[in-house]
Amino acid sequence: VWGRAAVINPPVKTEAAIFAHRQPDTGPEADCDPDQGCITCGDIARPLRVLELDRDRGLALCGDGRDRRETVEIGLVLPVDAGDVLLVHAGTAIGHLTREQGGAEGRS
Amino acid sequence: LRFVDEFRDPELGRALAGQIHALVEPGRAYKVMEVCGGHTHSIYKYGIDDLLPDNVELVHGPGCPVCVIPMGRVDDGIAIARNEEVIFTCFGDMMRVPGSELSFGDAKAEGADIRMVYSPLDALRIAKSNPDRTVVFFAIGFETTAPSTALTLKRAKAEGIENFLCVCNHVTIVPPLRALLESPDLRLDGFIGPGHVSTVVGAKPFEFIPADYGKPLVTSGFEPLDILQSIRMILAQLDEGRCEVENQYSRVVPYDGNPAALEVLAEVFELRPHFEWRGLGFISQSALKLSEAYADFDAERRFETPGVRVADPKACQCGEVLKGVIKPWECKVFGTACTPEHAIGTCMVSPEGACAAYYNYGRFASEREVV
Repeated sequence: VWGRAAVINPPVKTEAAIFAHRQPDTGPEADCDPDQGCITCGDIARPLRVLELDRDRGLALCGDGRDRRETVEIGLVLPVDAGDVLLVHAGTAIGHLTREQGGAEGRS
Repeated sequence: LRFVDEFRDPELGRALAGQIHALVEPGRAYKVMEVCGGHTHSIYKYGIDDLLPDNVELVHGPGCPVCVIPMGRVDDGIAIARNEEVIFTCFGDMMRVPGSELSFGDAKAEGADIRMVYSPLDALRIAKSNPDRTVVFFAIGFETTAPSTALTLKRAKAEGIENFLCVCNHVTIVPPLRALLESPDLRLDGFIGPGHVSTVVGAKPFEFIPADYGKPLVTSGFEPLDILQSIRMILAQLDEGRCEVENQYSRVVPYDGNPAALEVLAEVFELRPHFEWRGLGFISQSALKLSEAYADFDAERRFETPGVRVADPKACQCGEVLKGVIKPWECKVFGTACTPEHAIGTCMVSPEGACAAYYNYGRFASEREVV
């Protein structure tokens, strides 16, 4: 996987191409694809949907709606229900996308 | 996928770019720093800088945890990994980060049992299935990743797992920002604040930036529309003469942070008196180590490490790049001696590093500018 960065150098994008870009979500190897960025090392998180809950152990099985599934720590974003969308970073949910953050916008 | 596609809408993007052009005073130069490496990556991936007016310049900040690891810490990690009984685990990007002689990838090729993991929980799983070996996890990351390590250590302690250890290299975002702002060679007009760090610590810790240094900061998400909107919010503050912390990423960032995460961080970690940052030097209270309650899990206490400070290679200008003083392509070795496969500096190793982002997405454009 590591050698690919220089081989696949996408040409500079024009304005038209910028937003047309849709990256395919792929399996776990994409997490450390040099072209995509290692989502764990970077400050990157991805939205995943809760499929099953193991409340006793504080874990959830989450998926991205395709073939990717992973076990996620949910202790920081409780309460969590099946079907919720969580923002997951390094196997830990750090955000709860289906729940509103109360009155956060624009404060200083 | 919901929560992703909405933030890549081309029509809205063009509208935002138009608003940004309308806010900019001709003849005035704007310098905005994106603190987080994830933003740098998004900016080049989606070509956001191409949409901005010529006098709005984005400067890349120090927010890539891999890029700021000094070589001495890699050497320490390799010394631990060479112990026969150790299974050494780390995140993907760390594998290629050069130490003074070897990277983890090189050490693995020489026979050390070094494995790439996606999360600390995976490392703990390896420890459970290899009870006769010692599993060491090389933890890196800002406050985004630190709770993940903390929860895993809590789990290990609760389950009584004794063959799991951690080399803690977690760093905090506020001290290096303050160090940057104190640096005399830096002129900035505003900050795009780190999004996922703020899901943990909130936007509140950044209030010192407008209060003490008079620069606006907008906590931003990572999709192209998030970043465009944040730039518009910063320019609007400058236009209206306001200077405050605003939260563009309010769909996941609570202004005061995540109390559960802050609690677990306080339980498992304590601040190091000082820590060396690549290119930025020693910064006091800028990194975390395991607290006394978790001392049994501290690999640095269990194993002998060289602990030697290694100077950065002379040719490498990662320090200036991290401070935003020079652009990646102004570095002498950029794209020649230093490429993603054979990186000299860490900014080229990690895809979130400014140099790698330029190399992968923007180097043809910058070549045009240079010529």
